[in-house]
Amino acid sequence: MKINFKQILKNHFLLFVFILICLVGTFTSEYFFTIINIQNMIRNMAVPGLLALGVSFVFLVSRIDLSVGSLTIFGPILAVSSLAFFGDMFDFKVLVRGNQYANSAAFIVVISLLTGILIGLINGIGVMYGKITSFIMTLAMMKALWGLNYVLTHGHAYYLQIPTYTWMGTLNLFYIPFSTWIYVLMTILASIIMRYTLVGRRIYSIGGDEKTARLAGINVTFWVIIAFIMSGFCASVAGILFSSRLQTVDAPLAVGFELTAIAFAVVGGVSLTGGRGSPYRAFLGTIVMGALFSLFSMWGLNTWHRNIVVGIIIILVVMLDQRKNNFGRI
Amino acid sequence: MSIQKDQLIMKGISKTFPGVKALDEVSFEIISGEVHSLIGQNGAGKSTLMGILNGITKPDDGQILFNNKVVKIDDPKDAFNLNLSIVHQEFALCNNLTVAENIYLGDEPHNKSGFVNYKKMHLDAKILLESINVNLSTNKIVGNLNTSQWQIIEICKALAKKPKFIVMDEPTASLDEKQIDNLFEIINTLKNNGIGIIYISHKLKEIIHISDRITVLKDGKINDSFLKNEVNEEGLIKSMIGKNISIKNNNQNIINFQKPILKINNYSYSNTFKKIRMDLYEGEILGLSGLLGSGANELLRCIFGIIKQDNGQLSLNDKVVTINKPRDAIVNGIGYIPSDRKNEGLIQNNSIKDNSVLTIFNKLTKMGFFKFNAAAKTTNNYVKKLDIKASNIDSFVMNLSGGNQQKVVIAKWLVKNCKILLFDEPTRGIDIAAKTQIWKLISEFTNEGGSVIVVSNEIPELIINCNRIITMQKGLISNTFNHEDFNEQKISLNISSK
Repeated sequence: MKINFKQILKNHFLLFVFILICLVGTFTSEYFFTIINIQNMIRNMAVPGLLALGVSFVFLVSRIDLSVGSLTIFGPILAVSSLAFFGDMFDFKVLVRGNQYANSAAFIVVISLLTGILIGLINGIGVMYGKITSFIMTLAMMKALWGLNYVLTHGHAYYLQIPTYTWMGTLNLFYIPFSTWIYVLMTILASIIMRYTLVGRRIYSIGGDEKTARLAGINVTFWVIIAFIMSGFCASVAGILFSSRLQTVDAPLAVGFELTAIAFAVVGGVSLTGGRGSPYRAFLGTIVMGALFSLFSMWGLNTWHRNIVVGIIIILVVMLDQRKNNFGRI
Repeated sequence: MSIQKDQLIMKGISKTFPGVKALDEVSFEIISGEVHSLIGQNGAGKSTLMGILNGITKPDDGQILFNNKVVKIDDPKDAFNLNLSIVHQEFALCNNLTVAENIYLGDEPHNKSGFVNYKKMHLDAKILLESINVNLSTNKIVGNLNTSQWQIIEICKALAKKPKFIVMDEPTASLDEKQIDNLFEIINTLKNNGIGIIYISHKLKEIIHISDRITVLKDGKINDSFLKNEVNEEGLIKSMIGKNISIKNNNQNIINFQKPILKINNYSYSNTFKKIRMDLYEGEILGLSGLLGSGANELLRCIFGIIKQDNGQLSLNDKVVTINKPRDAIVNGIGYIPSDRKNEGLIQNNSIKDNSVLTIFNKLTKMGFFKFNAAAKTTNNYVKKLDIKASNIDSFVMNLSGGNQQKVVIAKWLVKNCKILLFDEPTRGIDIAAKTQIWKLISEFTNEGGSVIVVSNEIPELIINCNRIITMQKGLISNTFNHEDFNEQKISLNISSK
């Protein structure tokens, strides 16, 4: 088989950018290419990466999900605070000391995942049956969840002292953090679903042309709701990994994550107008931006400067993206 | 072999839209193995009737019977279940997907756990394309293909459903003659396989050639029904419109072929057309004819600045003018009426008024305030002049019929006082009455000193109306015909590929 290098470079351009960033990091900082930094870097990619993966599904059906940031932490908060509430009510004695809580990790995981699915479902129903623009629907959801986060925690942090939960946040398997494993596995799973199954075909067709999909007998309402549910699910997985890493749930955590996630997906080449992009694209965006963040930290660039650079990069990437692949229409 | 004949009957269908009775007790039937054509002017109710059959529109009254059993068609899925598929007039394709993915959209071959069998899908698509003698890679992204390829994919999409009944809504609108012959062969094969075809077209010649039965709709009612060989073109026109009419030549200009108003020299654009030399004279209607791929449409777009030529020179009244973008062309008094009027010609969810005065917004503004009355006055003038049928000038253009939409596009340039108008397939997909009116408008425009280039493959229409016809083939001008040498056969020969 002939290998077309030009095609490979075109399709996996960001992969080379990622390698370039890593090389630059290796040569400009003695700490960049150390096990501990690489582990940190790829662990830090997991949470925004999962959110970017989630919003990609929604982008692919030409909609937007702004609620993922608040939703990330809402799942664990709902689980922990309901544990605390019922603990007080039924005298479970889950309260260990002060505002430190210990209980079943499985409970938190299950409640978080269910919450994510439920919020995704509500978003989807609001958009499809309520005929609310996804921007407005998920913006409202973001604000509401943000408020709920404060109400449920009474504005203070809960510190989690659950061995299994802590384990998820800190464990490395074969030198690779547990979070990263989960993220990569979910990306692969999502890629298979989007590339090889009917689910993927449905979602791409809706993003390509919703009317066409409807005329082809595709249940657009159902699949858009599914896309929102997938986004909610990814956000709750991210929330579990995030809170287990920090061993804390607190309302202000994860604020603004939705925009990071959208930026990562867009940098990777997932189109906001629908139908173009893939889980792999979101993954590429994540590793490039994650590596860049790590590089900036190594250089000692502070968050504010970093944000300026990120803003510029996003604009450049979208500009380049607009130039190619407009299907030859005016 | 006796095949049990399936029968689909629509009985007493009525539908009222706000202000219009679109269908009034219409009955229509289709039996396996026949081609039943449905014709009528724009707005006669064809689309509504087919919409009802496809489950997009809900009838107010009436029923649909399949083999004498009442069936309900509430959404497109129900139509599929009755083995009814539709070739839509407007393309319903996903630009981001490949040819094969579009053909099998919603019905991809897959295994039990939902994995798509791409190998089978591409193979099936290839077989399907080969069966209609089309050579097209199934891996291509549809967004990068052209209109005639889209049309082919649309037809394949319908065929892929293995339907018992197919509705073909203007399937030949963007096909060339060879492809049309191919399509008719396919239709005949389908007929022999016991498939019933509902055929909708404005091309009466085709209708007479292919139909077993012809039903004429007029103003939401069945006006006539003919069997094959019972009727000729004039008869159909008479039944559709109620009087005899044909496209007349209103262009009586005598052209002074001395001083060209527009002259292009050495125009080239990538592989599409090369070294084109062309003149346009004052008061002239110049026909430009060529099949898809000949570069005729692209040349027109290039003159208007939508695409930028690689090299070449354009002069207006002997002055060299640079046109890099549509704005440059408009400033120089050139207007463009696109074939894709839905997307490129009109802002669908704006009113007739807003669309008509789109080109003269700055003129209608005083100190930053829009002069609504002046705009309304201008629009009313042109609505009257062009005979645009609408309840009022504030109604959305998306609610107008195709012919009326086309007129709004023309109005947009007339208000701007353009000297040169470029028409890209102006009469495609509209009925004969609207066609006549559009040609009349074109002639009137030239009679007042304007010049027109019309890209079209409706050669009989061009012959009647044009002063000269230029034919294009594979990016080159193959011949130029002056009015006295017009000959349909010769012109057709000069545009077809071999």
